[in-house]
Amino acid sequence: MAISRLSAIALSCALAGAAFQTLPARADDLKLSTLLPLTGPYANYSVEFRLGMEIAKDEINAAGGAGGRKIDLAVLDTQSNNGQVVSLVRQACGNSFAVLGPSMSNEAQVAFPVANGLGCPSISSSAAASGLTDKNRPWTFTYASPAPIIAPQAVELLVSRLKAKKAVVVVDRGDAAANDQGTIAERTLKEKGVETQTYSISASDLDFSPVVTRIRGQEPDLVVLSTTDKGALSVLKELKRTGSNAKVLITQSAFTPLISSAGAETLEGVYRYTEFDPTSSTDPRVVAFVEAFKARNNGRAPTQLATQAYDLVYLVKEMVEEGKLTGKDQAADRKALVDRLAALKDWKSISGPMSITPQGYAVKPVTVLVFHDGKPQKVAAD
Amino acid sequence: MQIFLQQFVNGLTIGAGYALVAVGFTLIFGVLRVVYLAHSAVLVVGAYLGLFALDWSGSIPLALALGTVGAALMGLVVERVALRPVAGQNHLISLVTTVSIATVIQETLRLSVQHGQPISYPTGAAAVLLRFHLGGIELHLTVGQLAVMVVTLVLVVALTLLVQRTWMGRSIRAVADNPTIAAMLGVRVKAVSAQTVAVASALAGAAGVLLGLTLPAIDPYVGEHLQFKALAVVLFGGLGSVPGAVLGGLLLGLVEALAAGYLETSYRDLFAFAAMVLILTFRPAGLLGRRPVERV
Amino acid sequence: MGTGSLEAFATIQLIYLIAALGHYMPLSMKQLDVGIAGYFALGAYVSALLTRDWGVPFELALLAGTLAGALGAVVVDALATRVRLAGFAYAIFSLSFAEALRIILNNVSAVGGSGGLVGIPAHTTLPLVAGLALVILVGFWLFDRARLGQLKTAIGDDELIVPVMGVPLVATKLTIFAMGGGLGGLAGGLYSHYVLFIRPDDFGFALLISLQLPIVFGGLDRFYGAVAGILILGCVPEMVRGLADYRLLFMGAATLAVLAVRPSGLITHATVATVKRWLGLPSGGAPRRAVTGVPAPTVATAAGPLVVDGICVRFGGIAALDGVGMTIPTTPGISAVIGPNGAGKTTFFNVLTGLIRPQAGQIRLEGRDLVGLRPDQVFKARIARTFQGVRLFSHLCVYRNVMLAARSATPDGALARARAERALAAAGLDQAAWGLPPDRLTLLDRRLVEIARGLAARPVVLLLDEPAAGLNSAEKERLGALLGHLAEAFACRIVIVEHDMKLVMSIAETVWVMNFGRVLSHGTPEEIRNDPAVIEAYLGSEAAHA
Repeated sequence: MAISRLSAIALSCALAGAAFQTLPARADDLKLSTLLPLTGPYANYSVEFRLGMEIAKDEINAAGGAGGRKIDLAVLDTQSNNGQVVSLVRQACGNSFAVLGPSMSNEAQVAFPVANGLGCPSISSSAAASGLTDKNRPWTFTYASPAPIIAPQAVELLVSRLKAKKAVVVVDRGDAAANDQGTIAERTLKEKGVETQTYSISASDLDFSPVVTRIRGQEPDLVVLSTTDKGALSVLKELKRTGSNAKVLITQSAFTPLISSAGAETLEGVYRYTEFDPTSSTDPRVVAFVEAFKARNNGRAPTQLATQAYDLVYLVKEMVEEGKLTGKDQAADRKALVDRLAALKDWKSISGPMSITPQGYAVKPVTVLVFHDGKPQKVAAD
Repeated sequence: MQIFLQQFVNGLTIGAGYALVAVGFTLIFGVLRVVYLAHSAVLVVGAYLGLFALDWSGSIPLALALGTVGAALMGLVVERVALRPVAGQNHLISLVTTVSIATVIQETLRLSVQHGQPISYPTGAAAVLLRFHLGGIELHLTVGQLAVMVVTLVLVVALTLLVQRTWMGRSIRAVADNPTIAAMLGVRVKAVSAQTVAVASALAGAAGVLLGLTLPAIDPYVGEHLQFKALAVVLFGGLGSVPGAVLGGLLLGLVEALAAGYLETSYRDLFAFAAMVLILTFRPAGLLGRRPVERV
Repeated sequence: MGTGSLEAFATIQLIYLIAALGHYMPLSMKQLDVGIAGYFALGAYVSALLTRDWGVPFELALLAGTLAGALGAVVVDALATRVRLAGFAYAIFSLSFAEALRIILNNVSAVGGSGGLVGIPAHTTLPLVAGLALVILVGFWLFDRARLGQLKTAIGDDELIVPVMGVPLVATKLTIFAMGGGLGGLAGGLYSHYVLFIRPDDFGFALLISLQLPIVFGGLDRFYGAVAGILILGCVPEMVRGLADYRLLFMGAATLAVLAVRPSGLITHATVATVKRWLGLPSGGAPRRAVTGVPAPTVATAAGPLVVDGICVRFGGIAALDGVGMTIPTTPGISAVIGPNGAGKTTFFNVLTGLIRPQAGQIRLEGRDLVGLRPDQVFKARIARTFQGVRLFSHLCVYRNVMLAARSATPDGALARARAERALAAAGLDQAAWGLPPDRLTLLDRRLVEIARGLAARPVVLLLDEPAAGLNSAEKERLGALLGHLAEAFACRIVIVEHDMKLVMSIAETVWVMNFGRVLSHGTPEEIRNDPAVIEAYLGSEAAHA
C-alpha cells in the first residue's frame, strides 16, 4: 500500500542518514554543540546558523584544528519547541566543552538559565533579547547586540540626515524581535521630537494595501519597517508602487536574503541597519566566506546571521589556542574560556571589531546602509 | 471618501482570496461531511507548481493552469490516502489523518525545495499598478489584485455552473443531500467524493498561485493562517453553502481592510473568530446554512 | 544521553502525558474539543503570573492554573453546546478559541506579548511530575470504574439516548470537559515552572498536533492508548539519531499508516479485553458472587393515569402528530399502540420521553405537566423506554448498561445494585452473561437487557418500541410470556409499539390504534379487531366494507 511504502522509504532514508553520522571521535577532540530549530516552523532560520558554523568548522579542521584538536560539532534539533530545549541543553552541557547557542532568542531564554546553573559556557551567535545574558552570569554570552544598543544609533543617524519631522513605524507585534525593535524605534523617534505614528501588521496579512493607504495619508518623511521579512517586503513594494516619496528604513531583524533579492528598483534609496553586512564588504576573508556560503546554499548570499555564527566558531578556536586549553581538565578549561570571553576587547572578527560587555553581550559599530543600483553602500555618520 | 473607497476595493480583493479558499472547503464539508484540514497543504502545492511554471515559462496563465491542475491531482491523492480508508469513522479520525497528510506534504516540500526557505515568484506583470477613475475619484489596483478578483469570480461561477448544470454536479448535490439514498439511486459515492475533493483542491491551487503572485514569498507553511480564517468563514457562512462561503469571505475581507484602514489595532486577526462566535450565537447554522434535523 | 538530559526529557514527556490525558477526556466521548493548547496556555500563564508577580506559593498557583484550564474548557464547551454545534463545527470552534487566545496573548504587553514571560521561578521537578502523573493514572483507572467514567463511555457510544437514561447530559459533559481542561491547565502550570520562559507561540497548532496525534494513534477506547501513543510517538524518535530532519514526516506518515489500517488506534477495547483474558483478570463489571433471589423492594405506585391530551407535532409542513390524546393507566399490565408505518408511533414515544417538544398539548402525571421537561427529568418522573432496533451502550457490559439506569433512579448504590440484579434475573438473563459486551448476545437477549435496563429504574410506565421486531415465533412467544410476568412483578404499566398482531392481541389489555398522527380507535383487542376504521387503515376501504 502506498502509505506503508512511504513510511518505509522515509525510515530507510533516516537510518541511512544515521549510519553516515557516526564517524569515529578522538578523546582530545574539541567537542562543541549547537542547538538549532532544524524542524518545525522556525526551520528555515536555522539554515544560516548551521552553514556558518559548519563552514568555519570545516576550514579550521582542514587547517589542523584548534591547537591541534579537531572540532566535533554536534547539531541538536530543538524542533522549534522550547520544551525540547531544556533536555537538549542538558545533554549538550554533559557531552561537550561548550555550547554554541541556541541562536534563536526564545530558545536561548530557556537554555541560558540551565547552562548557567550547570557551569557550562554558552555563547549564542545572535540571540538579542534584552536582559538575556545579564541574568545569567557568568557562564552565558551572546555575540549579538541587543536592540536597545543598535536600533537607537541607526534611527538617530537617519533622523538627523533626513531632517525628518514626521515618521511612521510599522511593527509586527507577533514577532518578538520585530516588536522589540519597533518599540525602541518609536521611542527614539519621539525622543528626537519626531511626530510618530505606529501601525501594526500581522504575519497572516495577505494584502498590505490597507495599511499602506494609511501610511500615505500621513505623508511621513521616514517609514521604519520593523516586521518580518515578508511583511517588510510587501509594504515596501506597495509603497513604491503607489508612488510614495517617504524614505524607508528596514530594521535588522526584518532584513533577510529575501529582501535583498527584491530587485534594484524596489530597493533604490532604501536604508537598513545591521551589525554587519557581508555582501558589501571587500575584506578578502569575508568575500571568501560569502563564496563558500553561496556554494552550499544554492547561490543565496549570507547575512550577518551566518557571519556571526562563523565568527563564533573562530572565536572559540582562538580562545582555546590562546589559553592552551587541552581538554584534560574540563572544569578549569571552561573557567578559562569564560574569563577570556568576559575580557574580550576589539577582537578582529570578520564582521569587524567586537568587544564583550560586563553584561555578556557584544558591542560592535552599527552599520547603516543604503541601496543604490541594487547594491548596499555604507552611510557614514555625520 | 477616496480613502474609504480605496479600502473598500482592497477589502474586496482580500475577501475574494478568502472566498476562493472557503468555497472549496465548504464543498468538502458539505459533501463528504468530514473534518478536512489538508486544504492548506494542497494550496501550497499549487503555489509551488505555479512558481516552477513561471520560472520555466514566464507565463502567468500557464502558472495558474499548472497550479490548479496539480493541486487537483494532489487532492485526489489526499482523498485516496487520508479520507477513503477512514470513511464513515468518527470525525476526529479524519481530522487527524488530514492533518497527518498535510504534515507529510509540507515536510516533503520543506526537505526538497530550498530547505524550506521562502522563495519568491519572479516579479513582473503582477506588480503593475492600474489606475481607475470612478466618478472623479482615483482608485488603484495592481494586476495581481485584479487577477485575484477575476480568477475568483470566474472559478466560483464555473463551480456554480458545474454544480447546478452538469451530471457531476447533480451527483455531488445528491451526495451532499443524502449519501445513502444517492447510493441507492446508483450514484457512485466514492467517485463523487474524489471528484469533490479534486474540484475543491483545484480552487485551492488557484488560490495558491494567486497568493504567490501577491505575496513577496512563499514557503511550505504559507497556507496555514489562511486555512484558519477560511475555517471560520466556512462556519459562519454556513457549512456546505457555497454562496455562504463567498458572502462570508467577502465580508471578512471588507471588515479586515476597513479595520486596518481606520482602527489601530493589532487584534485584527481576531475579527474572523469574533465574527464567527457572534454570528453563530444568533444564527447557529451560519449566515446561509441549513440545520440538519437529527432523528432518534 | 546523559542523566541530566534524560531527567529533563522524562519531565517534559510526563508533562505532555498529563496534557494528552486532558485532551483524551473529551475525545474519548467523541466530542471534538480540540482547544487543549488553549487550556494548557491558560494554566501556564495564570500560574506563572501568580508566582512571578504576586508571590503566590507554587502549589496554590498550580491549583489556580488547573482551575483556569477547567474554566476555559467549560466556557468554550458551554458556548458550543448552547449554539448546538455538532461534530466538525465543534472542532473548528474550539480550535479557533485556542488560536484567538494565542493572538490575544501576543498583543497584551502586560503578559509579555510576543516576547513572552521570562524569569518564572523554577519549581517543577521530575519527582513532582512523576508523582502527579502516577496519581492521575491511578485516578483514571478508578474513574473508568466510577459512574462518571461509565457515563463518559456511554456518551461516546450513543450520546442521544444517555439523557433518556436519566442523566443530565449537559451538566455531565461539562463536568468531563472541565476535568480535561483542568488536566491541560495543570500540565501548563508544570510546564511554565520547568521551562521558565513561555511565549504565546509555544501554545499553537504544533502543540495540539504533538498531543493529538499520539493519543489517536494509541487508541481512544481506553486511557492506556494515550500512554502508549505518547511513549511510542514521543519517545521513539529520540532514540533514533539522524532521524531529526525527518521526525515530523515520520510522525505524520506513521499516524496515517496506522489509522488507515486500524482506525481505532493501537489499543482498543478488544485489545484490553484480550490482555485481561491472558492475565486471567475478570472483565466487565459484573458482580462475581452468585446472586440469589432478591426480595422485591417496594416502590410507591403512581396516583392516577398518565394523561396525554391534544399533542401536536409538526416537522416543517407535515403534521407528524395531530391532536393525539390517550389515557394510559398506571396499574400493572400491558397496553399496546399499533398502526401502519409512518403513523407517528415512535414520534409519540419521543414526545412522551422528552426527546421532541410538541407544539401543543399536555402530558399529565400526578398533576404535573411533563411537556417541556428534558429527557432526564422525564426519567425522574418515572417514565422509561427502549428503542427501535436495540440501543445498548456497546462498550459497557450488560450489567453496567443496566446499572447506568438503576443509578440514575436512586443515589443509593446498594439499592441500585439490588434493582439491577433483580431486573436482569427476572428478564431471564443468566448471570454468566452479565459481564459480556452486548454484541456477544443474541438479538433476543439484547432486547431483554434493554428491557431490564428500563425496569431497573422502577418506572411507572415502561415504553417498549417494537420489542418483537426481528425475532422468530418461538422467541416472540417467550417474550410475550415474559412481559406479562414482568409487568406484575415490577408493578408497572408496559406500553408496547408493535406490528405483530398476534403478539399484541395475546398480551395487551388495551390497545390504541394510530394513523396519520391521530388516534383512530381505542379499546380491548377484540373491540379494535372488529372496528371498521381500523380495518380500513390496515387493509384499505374495500376490506372494511367487505
